[in-house]
Amino acid sequence: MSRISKTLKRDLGRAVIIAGVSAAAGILYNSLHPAGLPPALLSLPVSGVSREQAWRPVSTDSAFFMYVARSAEFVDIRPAASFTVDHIPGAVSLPFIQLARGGAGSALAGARALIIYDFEPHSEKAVTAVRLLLRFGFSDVSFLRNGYAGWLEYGFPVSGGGR
Amino acid sequence: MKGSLRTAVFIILRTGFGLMLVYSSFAKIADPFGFSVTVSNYRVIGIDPSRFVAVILPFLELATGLLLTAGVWTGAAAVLNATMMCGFLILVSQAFIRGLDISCGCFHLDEGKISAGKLIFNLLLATASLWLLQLTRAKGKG
Repeated sequence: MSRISKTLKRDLGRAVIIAGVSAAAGILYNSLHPAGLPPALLSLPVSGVSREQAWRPVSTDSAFFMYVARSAEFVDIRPAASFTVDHIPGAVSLPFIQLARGGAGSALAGARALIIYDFEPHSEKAVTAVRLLLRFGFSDVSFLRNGYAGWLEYGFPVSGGGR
Repeated sequence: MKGSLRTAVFIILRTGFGLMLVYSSFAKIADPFGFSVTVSNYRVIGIDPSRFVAVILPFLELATGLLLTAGVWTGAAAVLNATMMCGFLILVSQAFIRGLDISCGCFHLDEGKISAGKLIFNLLLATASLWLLQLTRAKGKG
């Protein structure tokens, strides 16, 4: 009995070591790898910007009026390769991970109202991007509710080789 | 069970789980944000804690898988393996009972929706992981 508990105690101790090393490796990898989740994303919960506060959807119609009136800057958070194929005319390409790694400051300097868009509707990345930008000091930030897919569906103008 | 048969079952389970865990960790490591969304879709924890799970869990799977495959610290790896498999079973079961129309995210992030088949598969994995744990304890491996 004592031998079993001794073995179990040893295994549990080793399991804690494995879990600790895995956690450290995961955080280190994600901090260093270009596609990883950077510390800015991991510390979002304590930044004071909740998901509810960042839930600022803009309909495709409203976004189009703002596009025509040039009253907002569109920010494309899809990968750069997708942006190259086609995008909303005049949009700024700021891939999500690049934004999370603090790339917003130079890319969006002087921008007024910002409309973030990903491809799919109700994108979690778009909502998270709004949270990050609010945290980085931008105040007028919203996201395109139906995404770029909705924009294409409405037949609104695009730039690039897509259509 | 005879000694040789027990050893054969032990090796098959150990390497089988080891290789499966290593394989399943790859897609999660490649797309941590996508995996965090998959985790939050289970509606057990929010999107913010899900990101921590997405950063740590794939590496825990990878480490456990490598240790099981190599036969190093097998006892500890079997404890972690059984904990994860039972945890996955609980998660998939609650999602199935609540009728959540979500992807399992077990091996690939965009795999099929949770179904009775997935539930049975996870039940078999949890049972096999407990069997491996029992065999490890019986052999006094470590």
